[in-house]
Amino acid sequence: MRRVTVVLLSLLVFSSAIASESPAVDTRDATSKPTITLKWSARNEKLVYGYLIYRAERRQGPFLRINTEIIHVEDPATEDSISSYEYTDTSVTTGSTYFYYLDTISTGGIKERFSGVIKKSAPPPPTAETADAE
Amino acid sequence: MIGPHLVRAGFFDTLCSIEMHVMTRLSRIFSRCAAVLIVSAGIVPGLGASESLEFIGDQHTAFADTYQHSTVMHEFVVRNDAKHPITIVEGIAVSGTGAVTFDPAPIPPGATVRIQANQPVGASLGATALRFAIVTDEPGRPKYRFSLSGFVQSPYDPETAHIDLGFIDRRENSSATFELHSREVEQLRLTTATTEHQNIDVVAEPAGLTSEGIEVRVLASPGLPRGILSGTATLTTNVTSAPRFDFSYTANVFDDVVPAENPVAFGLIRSGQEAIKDIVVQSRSGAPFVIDHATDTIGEILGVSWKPCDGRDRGPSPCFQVRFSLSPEEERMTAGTADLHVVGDPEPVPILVTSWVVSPDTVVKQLRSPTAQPDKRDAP
Repeated sequence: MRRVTVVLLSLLVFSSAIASESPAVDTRDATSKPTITLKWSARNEKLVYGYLIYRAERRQGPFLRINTEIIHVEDPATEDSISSYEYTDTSVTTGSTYFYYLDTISTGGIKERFSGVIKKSAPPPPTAETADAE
Repeated sequence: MIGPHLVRAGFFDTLCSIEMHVMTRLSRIFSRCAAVLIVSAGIVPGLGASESLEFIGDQHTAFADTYQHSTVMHEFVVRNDAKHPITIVEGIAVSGTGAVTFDPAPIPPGATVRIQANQPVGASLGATALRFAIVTDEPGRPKYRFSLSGFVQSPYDPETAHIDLGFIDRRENSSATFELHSREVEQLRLTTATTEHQNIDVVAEPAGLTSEGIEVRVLASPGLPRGILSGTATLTTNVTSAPRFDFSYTANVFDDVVPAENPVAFGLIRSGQEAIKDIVVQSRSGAPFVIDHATDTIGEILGVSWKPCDGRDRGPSPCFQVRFSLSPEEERMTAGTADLHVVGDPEPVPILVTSWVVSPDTVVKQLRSPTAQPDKRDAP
């Protein structure tokens, strides 16, 4: 029962996050290699060991874990402290669309869905006009 | 200083084992116990300057995140700070099947020696502490203790699985399934599967929207022994980071005559008080049968009686109400088998009876497991 409640909460928060601001940023790094950055924040992470990020090229999957190292939870100053995280996916192809979601992994080693699926596109290749302007 | 800390660590170990009996969320319990073990290891004081062997570097150190069934290795270095040679005579992997290797030659004063500890993490999951010790030839010197702690993850979803085949007819084929996924390969595939029983097999076929997972099917074929069957199945898959996935299975195996409950669990009962449990035993086919007598491995404290479900005093009948009465005097856990002998059947119908007898004064507290889900602020 608790698991169902948690998933519902996740969807609600996801919706509001999408409505208020886009938590993911599409960028190009200094070498013009496209990247997609995911940002999130959480609090009350007492029993959370870290986060796992999954990516697929289609909404229905298959999703594959892209962070080989667990993104460890920061040590919160207080129980109510908000921790912010970001992960930059550098293995994206210019102009391609990807789907992401996050799991938490508890100190007991159990994964649990943390976010809904988010759709993000890597920046398209610069057009000739843009290239000229640069 | 070492003594009181060891006593305290022992207390925590006991607490964990009690929780294991009482609670059902095994993974969370394990996490709590593992965390407690880490705390226990952490409160053992570092060996001070007065110690003969001094650890160079951390005596209690961490290993990098790893996967289930991998082996953790670490090399500890100790220096002989005494004025006489010391010889390490024994290395102990306290928690499980690991090994501690060392140079058995005497360590001269001021010299250092390397001690290698390695430990398969097995099916551990989450925060894990691995404890080791060495024994030296110093008269009366307690063991030198050291540990590795870290985090063990599973690439599988679910991380653990248990398949209960339920009450199965051992004359027929039975099966049960669960889905297994891994987000570390595009398509999870089963390579090999082994079980502890000849008549239990495991097969798998693709499952999921994009066939990314597998549906694992546990098949029980005729010929299993009667009673409660339990074992572990070991799968190997194409997940290179951790190809092994173990899961447990259970079944209640009977022929035509089947108890409605097995085990008959009395739970916590107080010594000096009689506890009674009634269960129904009936034939699947509806054919009448007669219970001739009952035997058990529990002893005088257990009484077994029966009568046909229709209220008559004696059979034959397709249904019997069987009464188990337990009158324990001693505080202990009790588990044994009561065998119902049915006329014309060469094999008894085995029913497991369990109880945990506590003193009339024992206070039983309810334990709850906390949630591991953080509050989300801006989830992507």
